[in-house]
Formats: sequence, C-alpha cells, structure tokens
Amino acid sequence: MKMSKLIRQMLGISVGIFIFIVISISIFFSWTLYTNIMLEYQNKGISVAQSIADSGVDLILNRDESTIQSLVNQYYKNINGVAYIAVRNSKRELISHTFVPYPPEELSEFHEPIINKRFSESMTIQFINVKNMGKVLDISAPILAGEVGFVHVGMDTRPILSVIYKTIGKTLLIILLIFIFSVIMNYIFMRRIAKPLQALTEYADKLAKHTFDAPLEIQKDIKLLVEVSKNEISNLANAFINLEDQLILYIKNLQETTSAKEKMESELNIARSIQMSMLPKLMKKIPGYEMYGYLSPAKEVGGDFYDYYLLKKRNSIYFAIGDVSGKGVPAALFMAMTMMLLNSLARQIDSPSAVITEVNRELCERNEHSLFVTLFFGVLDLRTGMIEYCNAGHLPPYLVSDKGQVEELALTDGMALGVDPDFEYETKTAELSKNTTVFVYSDGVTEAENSAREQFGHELLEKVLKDNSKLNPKDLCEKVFTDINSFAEEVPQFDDISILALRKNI
Amino acid sequence: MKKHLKPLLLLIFLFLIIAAPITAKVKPKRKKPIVIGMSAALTGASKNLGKDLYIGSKIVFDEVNRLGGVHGRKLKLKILDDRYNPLPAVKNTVSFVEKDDVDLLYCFMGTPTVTRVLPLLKRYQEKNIYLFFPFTGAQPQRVPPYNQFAFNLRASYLQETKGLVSQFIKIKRKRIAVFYQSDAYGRSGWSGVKKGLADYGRSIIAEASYVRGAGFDQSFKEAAEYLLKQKPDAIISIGSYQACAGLIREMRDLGWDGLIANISFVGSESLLGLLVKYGKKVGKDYTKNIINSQVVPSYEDTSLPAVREYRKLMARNKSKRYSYVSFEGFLNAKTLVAILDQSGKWFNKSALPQVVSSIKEYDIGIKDLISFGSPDKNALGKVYYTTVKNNKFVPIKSWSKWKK
Repeated sequence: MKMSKLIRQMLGISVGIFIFIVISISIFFSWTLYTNIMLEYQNKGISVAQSIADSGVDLILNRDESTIQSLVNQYYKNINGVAYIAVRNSKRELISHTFVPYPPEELSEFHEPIINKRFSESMTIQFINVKNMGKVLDISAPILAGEVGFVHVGMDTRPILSVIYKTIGKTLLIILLIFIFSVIMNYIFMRRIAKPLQALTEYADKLAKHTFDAPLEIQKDIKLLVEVSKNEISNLANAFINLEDQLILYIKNLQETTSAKEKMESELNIARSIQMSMLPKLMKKIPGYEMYGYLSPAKEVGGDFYDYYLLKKRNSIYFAIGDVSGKGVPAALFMAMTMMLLNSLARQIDSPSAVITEVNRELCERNEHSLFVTLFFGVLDLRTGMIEYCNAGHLPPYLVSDKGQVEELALTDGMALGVDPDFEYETKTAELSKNTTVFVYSDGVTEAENSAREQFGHELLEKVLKDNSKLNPKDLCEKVFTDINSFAEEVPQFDDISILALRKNI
Repeated sequence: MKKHLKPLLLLIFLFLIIAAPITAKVKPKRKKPIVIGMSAALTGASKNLGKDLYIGSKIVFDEVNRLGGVHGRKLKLKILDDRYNPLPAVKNTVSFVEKDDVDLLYCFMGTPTVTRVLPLLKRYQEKNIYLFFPFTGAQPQRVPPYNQFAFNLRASYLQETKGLVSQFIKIKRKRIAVFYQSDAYGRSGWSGVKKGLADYGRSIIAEASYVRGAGFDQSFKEAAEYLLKQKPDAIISIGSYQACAGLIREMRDLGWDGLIANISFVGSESLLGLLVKYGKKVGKDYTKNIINSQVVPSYEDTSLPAVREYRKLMARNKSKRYSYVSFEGFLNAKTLVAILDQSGKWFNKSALPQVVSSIKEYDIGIKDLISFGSPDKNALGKVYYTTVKNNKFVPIKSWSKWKK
C-alpha cells in the first residue's frame, strides 16, 4: 500500500530523530545537571563546614561536648544532603559526630593524612566511597588552623543522582509525550497528503487507460480536492485535471483531423483514379504501330501526364507528355486543365505549333498561381511515318532503333507553357523508321535518386534503351520502370515518372 | 477634751478615706496564681518520662493548693508536649513567656531540649525567667554562661558516670564500652565516662550509638556486635529506656551476660517493664546484671518522710506511676514550693537567685540535705546505685558479686 509506505518512512525518520534527541539530551542534561548540582552541594558543604569551624573555636575551647553535639545535630537535621558531620579536638579525637552506630573505618583512614598536617590553612575537598553511604564529598576544614580541632562534613551525592534521574525522567516523559503528539499530528497531516496523492495516483492510472472521449468520473472528486486545500497538492491536482481536459480536446481534434485526413485521403484516391482515368485508354490496334504509356505519380495525384489520340480524319496520332511544375493536387489540377485544353485544341487545330501556342495562351489566362508545364507534343503521320513535333521546355525524347542506336530529337527552342502568353511556338520534323521507337519521358526518370544520392541519369537511361531496343513499347516501358526502381532501391519516388513509347513496326 | 473630739474624728475619717486606696495599692494581690511552665515529652519514645515527671510534680502542687497555696497564691502548673525534640521545646518556651506570662520555668525534660532553650533564658533575662530543676544531668545549664539562669537539684551525668566508672574500676572491670544516644544527651554521658576513665589513665574501649527516638523493636545488633568485638567488662548506656532495653536484649542474645549500666534519665521502671514483657514472651530472663545509677533515693524506702508523703499522695491520686522519675518530679516540686515559700509574701522574680542561694542544708525529707549556692555543685548532687531484684530496682548493698 503506497500510503503506509510513506507513513512508515515518516515514522522511521521520526523515531530516528527522537532517539537521537533523547540520547543527546540525556547526555547533555545529565552532565550539566550533575556538574551544577555537585557544585551547589560542594558549596553547601563548604559553608556548613566553615560555619561549624568558625563557631567551633569558642565551643571547643569554652564549652562542653554536648553543646557541640547539639550544634552538629542541628546542622545535620536541618540541611538536606548532609551525610555526616564530625568534629575533632586538638588531639584529633572525635568529640562530636553523627555516625550511627559507629564511624566507618575507611573514613578514619581517609582523614588521617588531612588531620595530621601540621599547619593547615585551607579546606580539603575530596570524594570518598563509604559503605552504606555511597559516594560522599568530604569537606574537611581546620578549626583555627588545626590548633583547636577539625570539622568534617560529608555531602551525600545520592540525592543528586535521584534528582538527575527524576529531572531527566520528567524531561524524557515530556519529550515522549511531545513525540507521540507530533507523530499523531504527522500521521494526520500525512494522511491529508497521502489521501489526495492516492486519489491522484488512481486518477493517473485511469488516465493511462482512458479513451479520452469524456472526463473521467474521478475528475469530480479531484476537483473537490482542489477546493479543499490550497497547496502544492491542489496545484498538482489542477495540473492533472488540465492535462485530462487538454488531452480530451487534443484527441478530439486529432480524431477530427484524422477523419478529415481520411476523408481527404479517400478524396485523393478518387482524384487519383479520376486522373488515371483521364489517361488515354489502351489504343486499339493500329496496323504497323504500337503505343504504350506509363505514369507513376510521386503522390496520390501528380503533375505529369501523357496523352495520345487518334486523329482519324487526318490519319495521324498525336502524342504528348507533360510535366507540370510541382507535385500533388495543384499540379494535378493544372495537368488536367492542360491535358483537356491540349486534347480539345489538338482535335480542332491542324497545326501543331498553333495548337501549342493556343494552349499556352489559354493556360496563361487561367494561371493565377503561376504554374508552368513543360510539354512535348508530336503528331505522327501514319502514312508517311513523319513526326511533326513541338518541344516546350521538355526533355528531348529518344529515338531508339532496334539495332541499338539511341539519339535525341532536336529541340524546338520553345519555353514551358504558362509563362509567356504571346509566345509563338515552332515545330520540327523527324522520321520514324522501321522498328524504331520514339521514347518520350519526363525528368522523374533521369532524376530518380538512390540512397547514395546518385541520379539515374541519361547514361543509364540510354543504356537501358540500347539494351532493350528490340522490345515492344509495353515491355520497354516496364523494363525502364523496373530498372529505375532497382536503381532507386529503398528511396521513395520523389518526382512523377511518365514514359511514353511509340514504335513503328513496318 | 470633748471640744477636740469632733475635729479628731474628722481627721481620722479623712485619714481613712485617703489611706485606704493607698494601702490597697501597696498590698500584694493575693489571688493571682503563680504560673509555672513545664515542657516535656508526653508523646513519642520517651513519653513515660514526661508523664512520670508531671504526675510527681502535680501531686505536690495540688496538695499545696488544697492547703491554701503559697502565701495565699495558688500554684498553676502548665504543661506542653515537646516530644523530646529541641524545636518544639523552644516554641513552648516562647509560648510560656510571651503568651502565658509564666513566673518561672520548671522541670523541662531532656538534654537536647534544655540545651537549646538555654539561650532563650538569656534572651528573657530582663523578665527574670529562671529554669528550676530541669530533668537532665548535662553540663550546659551547670556551667557558665547559662548556669546563672538555671537551678539544679539532681546530680549531673558527670557525677553519675564518674561514679559508675569508679565503682567498675574498684571491682576490676576496666574495659568499659559506651552505648549512647547520638545527640547532646548521649554525648554528655559519653563525655562523663571519658573523663571518669581519664582519671584512671584509661579510655573508652569501644563506643556505639543510636538515633534518638529508636524503638525497642528496632535491631541494635550491629552496635552490639561492634561493642562485643572489643571484649568489654562492662557497658555503660546513656540512652532512652527503649534503646537501652534493646541493647540489653541484643547483648544477652549474643550470649554476653556482662555488666550493663544505665543512668538515671533512662527511666528504670520503663526499661524494666520492656525487658520483663519481652522476657516473658521469649521465655528468657533479661533482668540480670543490670546496674542503674539514680539521682534520688528509692521510693520504696518508707523510712524517709518524703517517700511516705509521695506514696500517700500517689495513692490519693490513684496513680500507678511509681518510679524514680516520678519521685524525682515529686522532690523537684517540693523543693520549688520551699523556695517559693521562702520568697515570702512579696514574691519577686528578680530576687529568686538570692532566695535560692540562701537555702542551705535544707531537709526535704530524704535524710540527705540539699544546699544551693555552690556554682559547681548540684543541690542534691548525690548518686544512688540500684540493681534489679524481684523485678524491681533496689539499692545495691554489695558490689562483690560482680567483682571480676
């Protein structure tokens, strides 16, 4: 139980401190008390001895022993702490004393050297252990420098010890009571902390398992806690409550965002399929010619496109490949616009340059976001096999003969569409020989990177084309795409890849 | 002649009128009693002594009062209990003088008590307060500076102890030990024994003490064994009847049957009473070889007029307290009455010392005459020796049977 551990620790520390206090107080107290009381006793004994010594002069010289005995008894009875009093005459005989039934031997021996001194001025103060009296402080004073006699006063040290024990006992009892009281207060206070801590711990546990759809039941109890106390605990509780509320909001947002995202994703998927469906269908067989196109957008939707269309009344196929600046939805939308424009105008206008010029103009009018598109547009005369083409800023296509010859089509000095609305585009022509493939591609092919940041590049592309020059357009396109993939390894496709291959078989 | 009768009668008449109040003033007040203050132990371990002294004195004063008092003044005896302790005795004295306005103090009991009261007599010097016949043989009230305030009838402890020592030495018992009360009384007796032995060039061979107030039932074994170690020929005890009886019991139980002597203050009858009672209980005779010195003659000796009067008055009062102590109280009272009588009609406290010292060779009925006036002698100052026979203390006729 977490609570009892805290309290056990507190108790352990308290007991430790208590024991330390008890021991140090006992030692200090006893020592201080003992030395002080001993000093007092000594002073008391000294004054008794001095007093008897002073009056003893007259008493011993002029009066009889019973008067001295009377005085001795008076002091002995009335002053507490006196263990014995004894008076000697000039012959050192005991003439009055309080010893019952007789003076202890050890005391007589003890006094011998003191009383035998020839001319004693001062008192002799020493401790002696006497049977039945314990440790006694003996104060021996000469009466008239020892010439008249001696007085011995013994102060009993046993009352001192009993006083000390009693005082310490009382003090320790008080300390014990204070200790018990403080433990109880501590316990109560700890409980006041431990209980909310326990509640907060339970709260945290529940938070961990929380689904965060609504505040937990326990939050109400925690809120009560905050109202009850205004301290670090309530601050912590507040933090917890805040955390929960924030988490609930956040997760709600997250859920909304996620569902919005999912919605968006599904819309993007729809957009992708729309875009894909915009691409030309597989062309029905045209004798002597094969065409295949392949598009792989980097995202769901992309800015590349290819198109081909059989212009029946003119016995020609137009084919085009375009690359809109950027990627994703904006590029895709621009691409769609470009493709539709191209498709519609190519069918109406015979001249390829006019088509491109007009497409450009239309695009520039509708280009608030300044996108541009590189385009390769070619028209293949099916009877002659001659291609009239216009290259608007696009990579020049390759002509691949089945003998492995690979050469680029010449550029037509056209800039990308969507930049200059008044640009007049020009065309060039080229011949498509027998078993030759015109391979049109976008920069996604050559700019495909591997993990070493090397690009696929024109050399590798030309090599692939050269090695696979005999393949039909479909196989060729797939091979190129496969090679790009194996080149790129794990690196995800960065740019849209579009390939278009058109082969003359006869 | 007839012509002068009228003025003569007038003169006599005038004279009587004037003289009467004057003569009335000069005449002493006959009805005021003589107040006598007595402090003694009526409770505590020594209560028997106080009670004995009181009854012995009272029978005398009652008899005197019955016969008209002293010169017409009754004697009023006021007694206060001091439990044989000095402080209460002092308080009683102050109370007597300041509250009761006593004429004199009488028969105070005990050495520690009287020794402490003596300075008060000096304090009340101007009031002429004198202490008559205190029941103690100690020295303080017998020597300067306080002997001028006290009058002593009985022999001193010095006389008793020296007497005992002499008797013991005579019968060759030279190894003498002392058992004494640890206070002024015990010390006084001890001092007497010491001086007595010093006269023979000897000293006390062993001494042991006990605390004043000890009871007979207490153990005195440690003291007894200590004394026994020195192999005494005789022990002189200066104590109370309870402690002395206790010592006798211990010594006899230890198998020592030597001589044990006690002095007058012990209260011989009370001592004997305890020993007989205990002896009956355990089936042993503890009364052998006990010698007690006394300061008054035997109250059994009916050849003495005082004894006869004592016994008569005791019987009349139906008192059973026959003892040396109550007989001493009786003699003290008789002597006091004699002194008061001698003081005459115009009793004057300041004149008491002169009156007392004028009493020489006076017979109070015990054959031995009393004489006041000598500063170092007690008026009676005689020591009598007694021993136990048939459970009574009787005068010793011969010491030979105790010869060593």
